[in-house]
Amino acid sequence: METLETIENNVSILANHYRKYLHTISRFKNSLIQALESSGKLMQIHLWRSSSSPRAEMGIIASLTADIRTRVQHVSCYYALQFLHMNFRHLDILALGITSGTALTDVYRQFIMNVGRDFRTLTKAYLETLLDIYLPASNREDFIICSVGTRADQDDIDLGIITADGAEDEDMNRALQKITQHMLVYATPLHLHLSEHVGKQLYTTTIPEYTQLFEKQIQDFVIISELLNATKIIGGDALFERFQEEVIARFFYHPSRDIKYHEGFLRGILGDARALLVSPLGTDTISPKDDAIRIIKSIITAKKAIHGVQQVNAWEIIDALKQKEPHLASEYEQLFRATSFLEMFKFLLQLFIAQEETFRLDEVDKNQLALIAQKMGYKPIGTISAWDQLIIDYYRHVGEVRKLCDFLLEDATQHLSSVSLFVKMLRAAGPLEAGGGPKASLAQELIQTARFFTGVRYWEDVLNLLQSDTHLLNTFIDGFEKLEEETKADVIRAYMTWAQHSPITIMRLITIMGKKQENVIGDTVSRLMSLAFLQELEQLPYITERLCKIYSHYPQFIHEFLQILSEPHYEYLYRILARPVIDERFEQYQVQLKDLCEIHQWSSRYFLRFFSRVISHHPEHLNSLTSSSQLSEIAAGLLAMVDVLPGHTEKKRVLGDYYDLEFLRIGIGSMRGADLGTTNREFTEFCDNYMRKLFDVCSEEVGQESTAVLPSTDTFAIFAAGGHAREQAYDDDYDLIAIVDTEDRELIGYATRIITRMNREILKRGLLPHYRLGEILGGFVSPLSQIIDYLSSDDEESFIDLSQLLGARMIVGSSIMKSIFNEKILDRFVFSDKAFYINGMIHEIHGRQNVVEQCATESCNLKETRGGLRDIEAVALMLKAYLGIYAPLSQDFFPEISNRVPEVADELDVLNRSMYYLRTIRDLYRITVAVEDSILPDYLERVAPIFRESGRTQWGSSEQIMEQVQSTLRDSTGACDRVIDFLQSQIQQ
Amino acid sequence: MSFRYEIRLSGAGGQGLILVGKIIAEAAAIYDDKNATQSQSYGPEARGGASRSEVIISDGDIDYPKATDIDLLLAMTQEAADKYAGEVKSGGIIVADSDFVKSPPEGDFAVHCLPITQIAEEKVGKKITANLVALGMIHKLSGVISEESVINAIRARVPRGTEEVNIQAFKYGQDLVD
Repeated sequence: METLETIENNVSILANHYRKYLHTISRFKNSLIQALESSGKLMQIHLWRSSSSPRAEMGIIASLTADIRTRVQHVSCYYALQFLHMNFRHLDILALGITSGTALTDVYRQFIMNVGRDFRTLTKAYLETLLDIYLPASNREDFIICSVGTRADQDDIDLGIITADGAEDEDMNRALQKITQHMLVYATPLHLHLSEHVGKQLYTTTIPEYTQLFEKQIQDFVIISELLNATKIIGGDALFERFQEEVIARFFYHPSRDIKYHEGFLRGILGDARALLVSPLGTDTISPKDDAIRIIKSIITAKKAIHGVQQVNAWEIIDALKQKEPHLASEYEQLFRATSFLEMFKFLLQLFIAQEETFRLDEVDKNQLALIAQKMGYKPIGTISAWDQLIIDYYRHVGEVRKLCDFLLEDATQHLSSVSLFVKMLRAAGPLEAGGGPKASLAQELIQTARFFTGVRYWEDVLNLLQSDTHLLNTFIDGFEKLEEETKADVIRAYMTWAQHSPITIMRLITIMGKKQENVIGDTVSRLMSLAFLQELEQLPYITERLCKIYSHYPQFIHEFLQILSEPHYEYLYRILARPVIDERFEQYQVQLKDLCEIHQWSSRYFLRFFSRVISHHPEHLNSLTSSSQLSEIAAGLLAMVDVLPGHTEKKRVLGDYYDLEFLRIGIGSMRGADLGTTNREFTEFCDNYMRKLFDVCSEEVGQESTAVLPSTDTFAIFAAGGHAREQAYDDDYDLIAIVDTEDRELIGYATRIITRMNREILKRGLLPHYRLGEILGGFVSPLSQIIDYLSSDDEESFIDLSQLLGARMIVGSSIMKSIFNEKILDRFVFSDKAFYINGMIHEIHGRQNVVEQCATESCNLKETRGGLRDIEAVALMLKAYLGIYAPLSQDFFPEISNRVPEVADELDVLNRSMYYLRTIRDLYRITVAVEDSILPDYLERVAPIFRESGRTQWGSSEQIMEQVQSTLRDSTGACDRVIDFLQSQIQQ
Repeated sequence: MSFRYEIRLSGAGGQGLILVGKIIAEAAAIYDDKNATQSQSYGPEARGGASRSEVIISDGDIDYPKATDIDLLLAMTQEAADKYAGEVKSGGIIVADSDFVKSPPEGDFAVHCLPITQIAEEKVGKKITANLVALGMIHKLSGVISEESVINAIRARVPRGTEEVNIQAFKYGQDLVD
């Protein structure tokens, strides 16, 4: 038959599941046509075109025969035909709309509304006809069938069926059982979520069943969302009105009603919206429903409940909200348009690809994708396909929706906060009464009140209040602490049941309390809760994914939580993070989160200080922790940005961020076993970049405040001294020497102002700028003439300063200034009388050796012990003086001079290796334990894993490290002594 | 006496269990002319990451559409195996994915713990077809639906252009049980 062929052709472009309808048509059409012909009613029925009165035509078809099975088959065949006609008709109208010049989003919305309306009409007709077949109207009790889902969705039909109180509804349930079967086989499956969760009957529920259920607990917010969007499609108005008044109305906000229902629903639905918002988007899949539509629906349903909006269709709700909240009109307008696009796209994906919610783009038929793009009015532009444009628009809309809904979620939180029982309870809490008292148990009262709200997940307003009100937080914590031990344990357990539903809530509560109790020693309630929480967490299903999801959206929050954990707590997290994640979207976050835990667990407070500063300013950097090159790129960008920023304050802030980020990057590198040479080189490079740029910014700032001419770098130089001069990483102070080659007091004054401003910034980085020479000479900036006078004096201290000058490295200054420095300081006071300097240094070393402690097994000072870093540096300075080397002491100093003093080449090799090993231990100790030169074997347990994981297993235990340190110091002592002997013999000649 | 066969498909969101439920139900109801019901996790349970779908197949009327005495449980994660094994009837069957179920449940039932996801990845080249591999195993072990019906239902449910790869995965699942 030609018309059937047409339908088959049309269906051939649709997704595979539409073949079900062809299957039904081909099975029963002949029988149906025959029956219609026999009864002479064929002309009354629209088989091959759309009908405007499907209910009436189904009634005619159902009356053709008495056999129930045949009646159902005939009606189902007709339904299948009409269902396909309806879709094709609307696709034709869509094509017309696309060419009409009307805004596309309006065309989409109209399409979805019309398809929804017609689909509802058709399914209503089918349901009514089947109901008539199985349960004639005369045998029915009062009942209503409500639609509780999206009208246009053809994958399932969400229904709620309510019967009168105490009605004997066995017949109705039996009829519905049959209808459900037929819907599955011939039409769209019914989904009866409400009946599955409410009441005793299989398909129907009664009003008392709902009210009894909600009296006990707020329950499943999905049920409530469905109820709020219920529309009666079959049944009596009076029962539906009663249902609305007795069951649904309680969830709308009304000042005179018991607020707990409204509050409970909001906490449930906002928690759901937040959970969706924190879900990362798939990289190779799209899901309009999960990516955006569900978020929109959750937010607008929450707003609907807040404002008493009665509409049930998404666009109508948004329109009504625009009236209720005119200040958010533009946000709602954007949401309105995005909803149109997303619903249209989802509908066509299901129509042409598959009846699924998630689509893997790599496996979808590309012709079908092109078809969808074409149906939505997209055309190729040059080399950009219509589909590519569509998918770009998709992500743009999803991004917009998420941003808008994040904002609207905050807005809804304000309402929640203003009506909440919990907020009222907390605000009413006065100061903790002496010796406890009723208010001492605020934590207990809170958890007891929360019982009705079991399962809801949104508590941000309550937590915000606790966090922002120090007085309240103190009352909460003090009261908690004062509970009897047994009661306290019970209350903590009660909070853990809360954690099962909303780990993020308890995590945040613990973080708020933990920060407050950070400096309290012992088993504080926050520490007890942390432990209980982690133990609970380990038992929760899919917790790895859930943690990764939280981390993906709130990395800073997780970072703050980790900050309050104790070291043993991390084992729980590692076990959780070691579990396989099923959803591939979370794999990258799993790696990042594990890295973050390791940084927190293994970092010294010194390192964490930088880490926390970076994360608090730029939480987004957490996502780059696993990639050194990415961090490096960000840092380079920050440094470049300093030049283009207009204000000095802003420039200094960004420059500080640059320093912190680079410090963090290199520190992470060290923790992952980076080579010492790389660490020192990169560390020195960024420190120098920082200082030079800081000098420029501060000079510019001082210059703008004055009309005077500033000192140029031909007359003003800044030298790094100490560790920074020797390219040594992780010093916690910054030895600096600022020198001017002028006597002009005004110029010296300006130079001092520059240095003062630089100091302020350096201090913000947690580094102490030291100006040893400046302090002696009476100012941060030292005139060259004063330095010369001082070095020429008999002051015993001047030898130390001379050593500092010999080891100094110029970081700001011109080549002219460098020549002046070399000539007037190094040539004159060191190189012209090497023997004086070398003898002085030998005297210094011997003098110190009498007072320093030997390296012991229980503790060892890597710097001051004989053969330690200070001795090695002293020997290096003597050699520098002996050889007349102007260049600063780089980390390659010993290998570089080895061929110039072949007599001690072996010793220099030993010193080089010793310096390398001792500095490596020093660096790692600083990053993982503390900024100390004395190392304690117990704490080397934090260093050893870095050696193990970087393949240097010979130092993979604290004992091995300690043994190696001692042997290194012995070797180094011998080498130092031999070099000193050599130098002494040389200068005596 | 009519027969009633209850299947519970459980695991995590994204593992395609709802689709398998729909395929089984449609294979039975549309192509095998049996009665079937299919339900799925919805609401807060699904929000926690879990996914569950139930199918009941009968040659008579299904008067109670909720699974109470499970004949066959598919557990694609450890959590699912731990949670639902206790509801499998004596002499029932548990099909588990050994890639994710490291401690298979023990009890008065037959356990087929096999590397379902690994097979999907290695043989089909797509991890995402693990659900169809599992379907092949279920088909073979349950014996309540015909192969032709299942293949018809697969064709009618999967995205266009992916029919063959999904049927191939289904067949690998059948082979796993042989």
